[in-house]
Amino acid sequence: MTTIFLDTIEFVFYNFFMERGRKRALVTGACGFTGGHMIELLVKEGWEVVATDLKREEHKQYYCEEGELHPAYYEDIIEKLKIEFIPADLTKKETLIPLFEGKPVYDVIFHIASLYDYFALWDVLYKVNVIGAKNLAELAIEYKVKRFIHWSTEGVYGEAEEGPIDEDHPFNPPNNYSKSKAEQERVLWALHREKGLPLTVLRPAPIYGPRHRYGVYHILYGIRRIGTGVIISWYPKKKTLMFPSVHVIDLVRAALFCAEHDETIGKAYNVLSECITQTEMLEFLYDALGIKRVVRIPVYWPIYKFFSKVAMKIITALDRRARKKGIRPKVDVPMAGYLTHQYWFSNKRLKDLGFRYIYEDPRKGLWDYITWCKERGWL
Amino acid sequence: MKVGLLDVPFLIVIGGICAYLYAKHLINKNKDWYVFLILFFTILFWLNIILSNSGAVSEPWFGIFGSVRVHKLIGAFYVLSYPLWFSWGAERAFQLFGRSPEEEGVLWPFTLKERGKPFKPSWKS
Repeated sequence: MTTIFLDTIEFVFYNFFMERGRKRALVTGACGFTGGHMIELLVKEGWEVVATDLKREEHKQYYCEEGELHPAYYEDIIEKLKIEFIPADLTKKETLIPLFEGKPVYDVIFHIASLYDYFALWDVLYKVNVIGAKNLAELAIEYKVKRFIHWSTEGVYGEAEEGPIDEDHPFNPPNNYSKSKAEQERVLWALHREKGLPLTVLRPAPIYGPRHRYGVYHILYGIRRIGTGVIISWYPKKKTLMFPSVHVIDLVRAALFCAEHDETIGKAYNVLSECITQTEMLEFLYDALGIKRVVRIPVYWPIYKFFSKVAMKIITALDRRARKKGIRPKVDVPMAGYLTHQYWFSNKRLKDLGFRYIYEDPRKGLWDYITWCKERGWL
Repeated sequence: MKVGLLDVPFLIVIGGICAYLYAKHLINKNKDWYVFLILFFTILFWLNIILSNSGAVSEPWFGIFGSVRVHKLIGAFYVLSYPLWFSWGAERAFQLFGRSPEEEGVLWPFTLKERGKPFKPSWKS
């Protein structure tokens, strides 16, 4: 009798006090790689989560090719976590209204959904990334959402003449995807200034982690497929290229951290582990992937630039050939660009706010990720 | 000492072909196939030199590919280097085409079709 009484008290207390105190979040792109990790973290932290994404069959239309590697769509995580899922298409504003109408106000929108595909055409990128974000942000203002955490990319800055680049660096996006993200940011910052959108922008470096299959994964996959390593030492040493990256767990933790700190409204944050040199990174990757034969080539910087231009021309020609055939090349042109240009960013602003990375050294996170991939036969 | 004029280029090419066959097919049957091949071809080429210099046959490779007379010491070094030339050719082929059926070598980024086999799961705890 006493047990039943105590259980009832607990039930009443939980439902009337704890449930009411729970924060509500809307997560876009919830079936994607980062979105999946975001909802897992939010549920673990006791948030009430509404997840949204395209329906699986609609998801395919935005990608140029449905291959084994791409795109990612993990609806099973939503099923496992038993959270509310409302399918919607960012490009069609009317499909977004059910996310807000008749529902309690969201404390935070985590806007992760984006078309992250270097092979995609500009029109499609603009439609999904720019128009889509604008549609969602306008509804967020209309329905008085308290916080809007938006995912951008480090790619908006372009190449670093002098590194590391901080959040105030001007934009110079080098490819269509980054251009669409830069444009997306401009639209959202305008809404922040003019209509009070409570915006915080995260600019993550290339992301990796369990379930990741596009971007950093392609570098690892390429190394594994090639089977022979090349390590280049640049001369003069000051020209050594850097390798920025972030583990998805750190990224979603950073997003939650920003959501819980109101002083982040109206600010942008680079989210990345400490940058290490490409040479250090490649040495580590060859070791971790079991690539035993490694060729070391010391190269004078102007010679390296010349050969990287030749390589880019070959990859661009392959890209054109692939488009004519209606297939995808092995290496997307912008992806090759990341390995031949200087991308070096600072994570100081977020760290100064008190955020601590689990994977401060990217090698630790990459080791975990490579192990995860190896267990599944992905690498 | 008589030595084959084209022995080294032959060994490089044969090494390359053997490496390709080993990486794509033979490795799955027996990992020692590479050693069998290098031993077989080295012994074959050595046998050819021994037979031609002992007078059992008149010229290396019966005179088909040409031969040259060199000092004994130079000839010995030349002949003893045969397995190294085989390995050198094989290593270039491994770099170009990969070392296993899953790998596709440095040609991988420059081709459009995926030809390698899927990776097998490993490191399972």
